[in-house]
Amino acid sequence: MAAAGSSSRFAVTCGLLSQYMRERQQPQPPVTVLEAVAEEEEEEDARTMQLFPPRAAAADGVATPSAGTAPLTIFYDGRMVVVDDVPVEKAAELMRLAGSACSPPQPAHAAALPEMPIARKASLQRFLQKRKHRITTTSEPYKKAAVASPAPEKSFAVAPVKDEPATWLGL
Amino acid sequence: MGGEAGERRLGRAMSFGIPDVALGLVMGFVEDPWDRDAISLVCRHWCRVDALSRKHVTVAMAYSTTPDRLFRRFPCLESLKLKAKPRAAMFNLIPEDWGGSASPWIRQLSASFHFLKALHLRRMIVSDDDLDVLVRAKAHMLSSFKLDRCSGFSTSSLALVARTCKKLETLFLEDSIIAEKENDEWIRELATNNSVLETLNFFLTDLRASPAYLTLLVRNCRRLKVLKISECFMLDLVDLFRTAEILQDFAGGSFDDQGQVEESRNYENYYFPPSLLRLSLLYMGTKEMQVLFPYGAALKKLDLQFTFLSTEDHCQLVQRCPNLEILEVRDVIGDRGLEVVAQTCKKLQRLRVERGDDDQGGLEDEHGMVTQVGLMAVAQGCPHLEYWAVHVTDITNAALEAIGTYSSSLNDFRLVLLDREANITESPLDNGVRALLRGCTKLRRFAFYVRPGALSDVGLGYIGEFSKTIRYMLLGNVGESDQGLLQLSTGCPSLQKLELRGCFFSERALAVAVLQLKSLRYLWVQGYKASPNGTDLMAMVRPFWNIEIIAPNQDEVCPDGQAQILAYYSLAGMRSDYPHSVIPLYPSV
Repeated sequence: MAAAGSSSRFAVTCGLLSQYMRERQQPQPPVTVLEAVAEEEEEEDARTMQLFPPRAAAADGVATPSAGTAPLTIFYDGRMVVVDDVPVEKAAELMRLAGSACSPPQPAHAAALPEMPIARKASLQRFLQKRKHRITTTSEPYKKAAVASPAPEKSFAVAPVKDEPATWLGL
Repeated sequence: MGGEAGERRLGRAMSFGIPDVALGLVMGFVEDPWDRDAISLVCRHWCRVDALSRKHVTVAMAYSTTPDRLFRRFPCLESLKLKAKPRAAMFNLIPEDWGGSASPWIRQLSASFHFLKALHLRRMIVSDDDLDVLVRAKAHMLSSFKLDRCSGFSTSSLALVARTCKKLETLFLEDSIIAEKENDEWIRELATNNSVLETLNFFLTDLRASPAYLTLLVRNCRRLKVLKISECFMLDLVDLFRTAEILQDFAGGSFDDQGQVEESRNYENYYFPPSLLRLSLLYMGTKEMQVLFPYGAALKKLDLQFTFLSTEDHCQLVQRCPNLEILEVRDVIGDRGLEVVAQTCKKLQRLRVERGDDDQGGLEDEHGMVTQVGLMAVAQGCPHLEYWAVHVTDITNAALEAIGTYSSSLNDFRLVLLDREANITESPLDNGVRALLRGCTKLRRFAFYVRPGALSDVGLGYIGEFSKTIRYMLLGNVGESDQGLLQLSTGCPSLQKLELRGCFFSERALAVAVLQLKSLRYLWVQGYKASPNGTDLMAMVRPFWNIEIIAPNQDEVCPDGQAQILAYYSLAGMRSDYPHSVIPLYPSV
């Protein structure tokens, strides 16, 4: 608790510092970021390794900060077209057009999700198979089960077992 | 932010100035990578000082950046950890050819990173050629080398590593798939060329290891404290344990040898070194369990996941281990076993309860089940738990509330509700989840994998609202509609990595959630409402955000061969090694 709290306070302080530095260097207000993006991340974009470039990422499709022209990306029927230098008005018009032709909410034709078995870690799966094999071959009560189930791989850590339902969920 | 008064305060602080030497010294004491990130964002100068003094970096997704970019920013790295394949790979859900080659990284590492001493590769494909290149460049430097759930290399490369990396203190190969597994010459090379080894781990591999070589290793490497091996008959390891005077951590072995006549197995007075603190034994049964009794009080860690023990055996054994800090079991331990844990193990910090053999056609010799009863006992009895992963057969709101009340030290909680029973006692679990999240304020990681109906949209809203500190989340079979996901995505301010499975969310909702979750940098989804041609996913397209669809394998007989979405921030752009099974959604211009 204490560590977590102090750590986040530390980050906040650093955030304040970074804002201060920015303001001192550039008197004009920062560019408006459309999406809610952490202050620190924006900074990272501008000054550091740019691992997460939210300023660009935040731009919402056509809404570019400067008026004029911008590239237009259209996805249609699984294809994509990129048109450079499309004026804002043209883009807006296109979108109005597309919006008017838009079909009402998609009918629920998508079937319910097929069931997915809960998964088991591959290492444990291998163990259980091998365990089953050993028990069935060494102790009487399980002989019957041994006949019913296929003989598992002999070694413990074999390559991923392909013929087993991949059990998932990871802990 | 801060107003005028705040600015004045900051202004004064900055005007004093901090000399570089002082700054460097102070930064030397800041080890937390999150604090380091915050420092690096203050200004260019601080960023430079941080970059030059950063000793360790973890790249959580190898495709999120390039080796060259990493080197340019952190030229003085001493330690690097790289992860590639999604976590689902550990559950056989990712195609073998998905990607994750270590080659580009190893080429760059070998040519640069002049201070690199420790390398940890997780879920990557590492070829013999890669290891050859690495060894040529770094053999004289490497002190820690981990190939963690990797594949693609053979024991001949291990021999090369063993022969040439004479400073190696840690060699880790756990759960890797290694070719030429019968050849154990590499262990002899290690024993004869290395005298500083402290940790050797090839647990959960199928590498052969002759007891003679292992004993030689223990005799020559006098600092060896951790030895985790593959299967090796325990009666052949008697000499090894007599020799390993300072061994603290042992895993592997085997109490089961098909070739051995049962009567000739005698474990009476089996000897373990007195320094031994952590144990994981394979195929241990009721009869052999007694070899542990004299050592129980000394043990801090016990892993019984890979044993044949019954519920009663677990009770007997755990009772003798009051100082356990780490316990790993299958759910065969049952509520009764967990009650013993709660009464006995007051120092417990980590508890893992894995799923046993409950598949159809599984053996019905495991009657253990874990329910709200066991959970409540542990919550009340083990106040120091920090990590708790558990597979349960039943669960109630009250049990989750108890965890919120008593387990306030938890930073990682993962719960899976199994599908053994047709019904569970109580549903939905919305209020229980809210109480848990409210109480466990240190949670960084949270997994909640239940069944349809067990967590409503309201519950998802609670997760969004009360998970301020959670960075990683796995949710399975939760929610009722898109509304739940959208509600969740208005909160979760720290969430960086989200995995969803079996939830009925549309692509549109997934896309909106990605745009709303402000810290999110990694998303994995399997089981969702797909739109025709995946066009609705395009709503999440944006610069630097790589989106990949992993197509289900058509040849696979698996019933759950469903498409997966993997999306992550990347400065490396689109990757160039897609196999046929991976379809990138990325502006192709």
